[in-house]
Amino acid sequence: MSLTELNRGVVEHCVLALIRDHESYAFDIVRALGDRGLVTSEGTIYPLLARLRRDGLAATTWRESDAGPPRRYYRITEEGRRVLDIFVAEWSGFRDAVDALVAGDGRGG
Amino acid sequence: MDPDALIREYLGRLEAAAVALPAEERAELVGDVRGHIEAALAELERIDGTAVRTVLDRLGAPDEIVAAEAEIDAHVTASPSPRAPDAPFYAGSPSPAGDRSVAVEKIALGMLTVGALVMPVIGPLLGLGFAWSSTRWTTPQKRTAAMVVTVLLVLPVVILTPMVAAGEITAVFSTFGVLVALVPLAGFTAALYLASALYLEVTIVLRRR
Repeated sequence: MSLTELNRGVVEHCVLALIRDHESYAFDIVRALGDRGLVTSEGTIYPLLARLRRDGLAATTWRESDAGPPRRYYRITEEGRRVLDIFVAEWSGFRDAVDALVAGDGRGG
Repeated sequence: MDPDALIREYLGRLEAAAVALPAEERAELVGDVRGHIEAALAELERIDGTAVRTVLDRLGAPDEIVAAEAEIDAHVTASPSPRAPDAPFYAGSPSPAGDRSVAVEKIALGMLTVGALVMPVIGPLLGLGFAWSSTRWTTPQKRTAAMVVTVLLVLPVVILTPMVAAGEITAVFSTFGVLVALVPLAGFTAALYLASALYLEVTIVLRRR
């Protein structure tokens, strides 16, 4: 698995986490990820969002916004919630195991 | 350079770079990026060339964006159901909780408690047997449970034998009643220990979420 694949796999779950509790405009999602340094190029989030839409993990509606034309508004679906729960269950264990190894703790978790 | 011209030029490059994508995807991508630019500029007080350039720089090169879309499409084509992993990407701790049923554990605990009352000595031993085959309890936990049962089953024998040898029959009978209670106690104590071990493990896994 390349680092890009790892990043994309993790970032798409971060997107789901961002819309888990409340709906968001695409722009706000992208900015939230960019501000946390999770992406270098904000534009690359849009293919990821499109994929989440097509896989039925997120649903979108067009909403009027205060300034300018209607914008896409993202919300999580039941399937998206299920996928996110699976990721959350596995992520901390995975992360801890990697941290321990990388820190040179040969004993492991 | 004029802000509108910058944006048109950028979106033009994006459209060109995306020529290999299916028409619908290309249209959606360009539309999404255009919407992003509009939203970004709506935040700004001043819209000039520098501000637009900053927004476009943060978006990244059109080639990179299209490459991301192509990569995601290729990844999905290669693995038809990426959303339903047949193996979790993390194998988990040695005794993972989850959807796996606790059937074996329930039988073990049942044997150790009810079984101990219905079938003294044999019940707890059967319960131990089931407990040993469980994948949820660790070997140290199984050993502790086995030790508890063994000690509490053997204790009556240890206490009664010298009495019998000494011929103190009446003492044996009065003690016997008390010691018989130890037999189901053996099972219940082990069951309590194993149940708490199981419960705590499940609790810990849930809290991680």
